[in-house]
Amino acid sequence: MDYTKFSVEDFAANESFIDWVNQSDPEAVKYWELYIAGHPEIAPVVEKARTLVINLKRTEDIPEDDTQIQSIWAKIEARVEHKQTRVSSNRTRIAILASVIIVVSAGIWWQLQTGDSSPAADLYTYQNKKDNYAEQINETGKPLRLQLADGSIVTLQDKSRLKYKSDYTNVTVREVYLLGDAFFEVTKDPYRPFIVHTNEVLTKVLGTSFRIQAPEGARNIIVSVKTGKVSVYTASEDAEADDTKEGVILLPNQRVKYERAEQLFDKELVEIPEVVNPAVKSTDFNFDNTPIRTVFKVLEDAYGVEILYNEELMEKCFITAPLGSEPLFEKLKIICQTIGANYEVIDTRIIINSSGC
Amino acid sequence: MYTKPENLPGDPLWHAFKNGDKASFARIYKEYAKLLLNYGNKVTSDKTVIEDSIQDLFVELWQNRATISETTSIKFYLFRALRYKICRNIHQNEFLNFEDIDNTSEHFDHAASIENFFIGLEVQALQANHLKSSISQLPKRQQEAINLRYYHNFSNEEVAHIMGVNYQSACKFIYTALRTLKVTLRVSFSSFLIFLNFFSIYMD
Repeated sequence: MDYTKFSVEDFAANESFIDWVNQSDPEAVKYWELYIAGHPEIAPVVEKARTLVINLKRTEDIPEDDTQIQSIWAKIEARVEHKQTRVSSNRTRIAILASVIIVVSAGIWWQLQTGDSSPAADLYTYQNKKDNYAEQINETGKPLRLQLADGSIVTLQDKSRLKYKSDYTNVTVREVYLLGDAFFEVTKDPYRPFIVHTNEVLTKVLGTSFRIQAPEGARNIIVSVKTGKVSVYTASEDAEADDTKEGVILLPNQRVKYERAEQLFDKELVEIPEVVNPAVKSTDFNFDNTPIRTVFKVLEDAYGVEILYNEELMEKCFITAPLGSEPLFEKLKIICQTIGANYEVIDTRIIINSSGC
Repeated sequence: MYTKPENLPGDPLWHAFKNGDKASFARIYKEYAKLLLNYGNKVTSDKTVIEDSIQDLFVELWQNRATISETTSIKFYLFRALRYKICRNIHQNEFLNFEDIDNTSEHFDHAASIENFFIGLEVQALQANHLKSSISQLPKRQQEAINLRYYHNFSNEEVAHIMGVNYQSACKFIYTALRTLKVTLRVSFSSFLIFLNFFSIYMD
C-alpha cells in the first residue's frame, strides 16, 4: 500500500493507523513504524494526523463527580427491588442545587465570623482583593479538589483559601488569589495566561501543574513545578510602574523559594524529583555494564535534570545495577557507591565528584 | 470484518449477570455508567432524557436478564441499547420537545475539563482547546461518530451498528469531520509559536 499521497484526514481515518497511535495492536505498531521509517517525507503529515487522533481523545471529558452516577443507580435499584415506576431525574436536580447553596452560604458565614478577628497582614491583603470573586475556604481537615470555570483544577490544602472568578469567559488573564497551600493543574490556553497571586509574588503559566505553598505570615513562598513551564516574579502594589520584574523560570522538578524579607529567589530541585518523561519505563534503569555517559543521559532524560561530571575522567566507568522505581537521589547514591564517587546538588544541577575508574 | 457477538463465547461478567448475580449487574453499571453518560451527551443535550434512558436501560436489562443474548462486548451492547432508548424517549416527547437529535447548531455547556496530564505534549495540549470548540460546531451526527471512534475506540463497523447507519455513512461522518477539524491544526501550530514567544519575553 502506498501512503505517500495520503492527507492528514486519510491517515487519521485509517483504522490501522489509529491502532498504531493508540499502540493497541502490535501488528499495526510494527507495520507503521517500519513504513514511516522507510518514508521520511511523510513524517510531517503523519505527525499532524497523530496529533489529531490523540487530541480527539483528549477533548472529551468524563465527569469527575460520582453523585449523578450514584443517583441514577439509586433509582435503578429502587425500581428493580420494589418494581416502582420511573422516577424522572428532574427532582434530583433540585436536590443538588439545594446542597450547593448550603455549602456556599456556609462559606460566607465562616468569613464573616473570622474576617475581622485575624490581625495577620497577609490575611488583610488577601481579604482586600477582589470582592467580586468567589471564595473557597478549606476547613475540612483534608485536601479539597476544586474545578474552576476554565477547567483548571485546584487542590486546596487544609486551612487554605482561594479567591477565583466564577466565569473566565470574558477575561484576557485568568487570575486567582491564594492564601495557603495548593496544587494547580491549569488548562492550557495560550491566549489567556493563568496568574496566581500570593501576597507580593505572582506565578504565571499557560497551562501546567505546580504547587504553591504560601501560608499567611510565612517567611518563604515556595512554588514547585510538576509539569510544564512556570514563571514566578514579584510585583509591587503599583505594579504598572516596573517593567523590570524580578523573577525566575521554572521547569519540571524545580522549585523556587522566595525569601520575603530579603526579596530573594532561590531556585532548587524539588525534594523528590519525579520521572517527567512519559516514555520512560522503570526497566530503562536496569543498567548492565552500561557506560556512565549513557547512565547519566538516561537519568537526565527521565527526570529532566542536568547532571554535570567530567566525561574524560569518568570515561572508563561502567555501571551494573538493576535500578527501577527508587527515587532519583537513591539511584544516584547507588551509582556513586559502585564507582566510589559522590554527588551534590547545587541550585538545580547535580554535580558528580569522581576521580575516575 | 465485523463478527456478530453472538457467535463467540460470551463475557463472563455478562454471563454471571444473566444468571441473576446482582453484584455483577452493579459492576457492569459502575464500569460503564460514566462512558454512557459521556456518549449520551453526543446524542442529545437533554440531560433528563439521558438519565432516564440509562435508568430504563438498566432496569430492563435486569428484568429481561434471562432472555437477552450473550455478548463478547458489553460496552458495544450497552452503547447500542442506550442510543435506541434515547431515540425512543425523545420521540415520546416529540410534541413537547422540538429539538431534533440531528440538530446541527447546538452548543453544549460541558464543564470544560481536558485531561490534565500534559507532560511533554505541549503542542497537543494547546490544540485540544481549539479542537474542542471546533468539534462543537460540527453537525450532531459527526460529533457522535467522532466520539464513538476516537474516544470510545469502537471500530468503524461498530460505530455504524451503534448509530444504526450503514458502514459507508459511518466512515463518511468520520472523514468529513476530520477534514473540518484538520484546519484547527494549522491555527494551533501558530499559537504554539506565540506560546514560545511568551516565554522568551520572560527569559530576557
